[in-house]
Amino acid sequence: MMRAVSATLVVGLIVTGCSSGEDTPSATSTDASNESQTGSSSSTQDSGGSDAPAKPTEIDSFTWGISPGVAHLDYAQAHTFSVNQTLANICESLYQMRPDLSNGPGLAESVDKPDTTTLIYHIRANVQFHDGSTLTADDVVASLKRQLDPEVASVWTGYLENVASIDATGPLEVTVKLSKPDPLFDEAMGSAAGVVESAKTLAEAGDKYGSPEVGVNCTGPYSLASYKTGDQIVLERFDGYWDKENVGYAKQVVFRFFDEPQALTNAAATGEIDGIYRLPLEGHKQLLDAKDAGSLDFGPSVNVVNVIASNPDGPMGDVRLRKALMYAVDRNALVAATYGERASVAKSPAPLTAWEAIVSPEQAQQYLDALDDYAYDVDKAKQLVAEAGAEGQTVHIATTPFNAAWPVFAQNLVTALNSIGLNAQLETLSRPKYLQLFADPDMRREYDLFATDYGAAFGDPLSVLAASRTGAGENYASWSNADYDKALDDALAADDATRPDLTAKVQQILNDQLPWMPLYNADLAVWTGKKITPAPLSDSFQWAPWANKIGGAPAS
Amino acid sequence: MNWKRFLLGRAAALVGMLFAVTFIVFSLLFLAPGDPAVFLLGGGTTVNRDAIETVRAAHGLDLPLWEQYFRWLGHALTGDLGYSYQTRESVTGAILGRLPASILLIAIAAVFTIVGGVLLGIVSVLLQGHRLSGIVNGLITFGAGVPAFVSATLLVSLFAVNLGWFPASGAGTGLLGMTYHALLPAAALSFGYIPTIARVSASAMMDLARSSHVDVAMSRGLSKGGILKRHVIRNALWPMVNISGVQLIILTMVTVYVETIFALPGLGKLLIDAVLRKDFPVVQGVILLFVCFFVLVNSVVDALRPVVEPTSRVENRRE
Repeated sequence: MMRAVSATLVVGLIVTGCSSGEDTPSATSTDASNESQTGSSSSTQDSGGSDAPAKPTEIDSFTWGISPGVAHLDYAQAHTFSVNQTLANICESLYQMRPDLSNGPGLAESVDKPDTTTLIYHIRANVQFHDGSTLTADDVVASLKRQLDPEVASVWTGYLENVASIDATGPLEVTVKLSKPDPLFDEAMGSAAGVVESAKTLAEAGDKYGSPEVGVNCTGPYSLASYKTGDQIVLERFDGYWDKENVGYAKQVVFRFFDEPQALTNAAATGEIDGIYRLPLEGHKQLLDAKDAGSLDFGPSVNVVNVIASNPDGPMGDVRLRKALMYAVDRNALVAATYGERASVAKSPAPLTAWEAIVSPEQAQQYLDALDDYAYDVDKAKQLVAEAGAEGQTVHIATTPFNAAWPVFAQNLVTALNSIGLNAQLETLSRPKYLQLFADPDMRREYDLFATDYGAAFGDPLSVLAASRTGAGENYASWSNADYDKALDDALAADDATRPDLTAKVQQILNDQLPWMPLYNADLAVWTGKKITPAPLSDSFQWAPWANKIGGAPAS
Repeated sequence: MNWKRFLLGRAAALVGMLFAVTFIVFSLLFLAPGDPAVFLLGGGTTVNRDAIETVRAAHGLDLPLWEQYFRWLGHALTGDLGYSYQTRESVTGAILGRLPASILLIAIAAVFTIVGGVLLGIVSVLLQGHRLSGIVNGLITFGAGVPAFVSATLLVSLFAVNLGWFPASGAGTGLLGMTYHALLPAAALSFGYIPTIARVSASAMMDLARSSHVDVAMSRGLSKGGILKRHVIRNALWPMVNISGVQLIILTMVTVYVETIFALPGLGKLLIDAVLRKDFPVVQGVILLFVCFFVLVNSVVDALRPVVEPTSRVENRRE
């Protein structure tokens, strides 16, 4: 159910806190406003400049670096960090994600849930699109229905698979009927799954929607001024933005495209760009040292890097070998050698941040503590290989140089597998070819293992765990387990009070079966230059407007 | 030279080459592993077979190779190069958007390469027998061995990040701004190709320096500079022009390295990205442009021959 997060592309997952029925957004304007100017409370400040909230000043423009570049701005195919962080400032969703990944009111002021399969969204009045037209229920219906159009091939269909109907039931009211209870649909309305575009624009643009020549026409705090592929996107402040308290400080925001992490880092160090979300690992040291140029801050991330057992018919189809691999890899040492303190060993594909969006931090930690951590134990790994009678079997691993850490982890997987009696073969693929693994089940079966950087699309562990359901689009392991599917159904059908415990049971099965073998959860790294105030330190940057919260840094 | 015959011949060659190259490239892309429909569907996420088939049918990707090619060719002949699978923008628009940065980059790099190469060649000749000769030859050998991505990395680190003299990335705006942004990438691009022209130039000049007419000029008491200018460089122009044309074509083909390192929106990167993602329309569009450019460069070089090499005019008359 979760949108994929791939190696170079990432789909973030957003989680929303209003997962069920009664938790309706208030009718007041969203409070996801300036509350996180300096990042979340759990962030770590590595350099000066963002310890105290700074009141932004109005500025003409600032420049943001993104890597790789943006190919198009179609919300239905928005599944990369680059597209999402740009689009989040132009197009808005029914809900607006808060920095803590919960959903607040967005283009829907509130929602009624008269029963478990009916959602009635009350659309905000007097909201203007960038072309000056006014938002109506028809725009919402057209935008959501487009996600279901097979020719559009939306990456968000997983969240809409239980939609039975979407109708305008009033000028500013949209009713969605579900074929069965599915809290993930409503939660996804804070992500790109819930983006609202002008129905007229969609009809006129056709299959060129979101292209550099046609662009988009949404309601966000910034409108698209120019778009040159391979180079940059320029946004202009939208003075007709409905949320008058959150009109942007900068008149213009430029998103510049980079292909190489080093080029991105150089541009930051020289002040050619003012900020970066998710700075690649390669740039950490250079920018941590560049204190005169800005600050590099770290916060919690929704993404976990997992190794997928992609071929159920190969040796890694045997759960004993998957467990053996987990025991054979010294993940603590690897994380220390690559990210240092900026990452932690993951015990579940569902990150702590996703759990913290639905339960207390203490409860979230308890759920993760209950899982087997598969601590480094080569003897136990060898024993499992012997039990499986798999000595000497060949394991094909696909990898790509996604960032500086991946080759290290890939090589260590090879070493670990060889050390326990298996014969590991590593193949490095180009990024485009590697990305095909996520779309092509037949190609996945050519390899036994490959890695994915997968994030929660919203604040609910189920948004990640649902990916391993039998037949799910993002079930990259082609794994099938009846107990797991049953546990997942139980959790999805449960009420808010009992769902966390049931979700923990789902996670427990995954931890025992390991179709996805979690490796690590790296922090969100955000670079902010001296010229501007710090960017919100939250993965909500993928879905909710954030550029409007950045302004000129006050003179010190 | 019979210009009418020359131009007609070149035009015929261009048409034939365009047809052959585009068909070969199209075929190779078609046969290479990977499905463009996967990229059309966004890549990076799992999509179902129905969606892939829908997209394949919508874009004619389910047709046989020859039918896809001639379909593309039919549109291309009417000036419609199609739309990019990746960005959904017109191929013409995508190319025009990248063209300014590429033209500046290649033009400046060509000036650096040709002027630098010829000057270095002259210096090499003048220093023959001098103790500095070894240093110059060493520099030439070193330069020839440095690939563009290495020189680009070194130059950006020194002159952009550490000294701050030049921008580290981007294309800039306006002619002056774009030229300023292109200087460092052009220097990186030309670095490895200057030695080739220097060697060819020096070799041609050395051959001429040993010829009898130079001996005669020396015996008549002409200065060394005068001999070099009137009897050596003048007669060595053809090999220099010839190798410059070849180098210009090579420069055009390897811009992707510096475009990537300097984040320049150029045609090299556009082509490579399109090839990796099997974006047929963009690949074909850029290839068309490149082939036209290569034929143009070769034609200009050939047309210059009677001008810079008078003996060729005599040979033509004899024919």
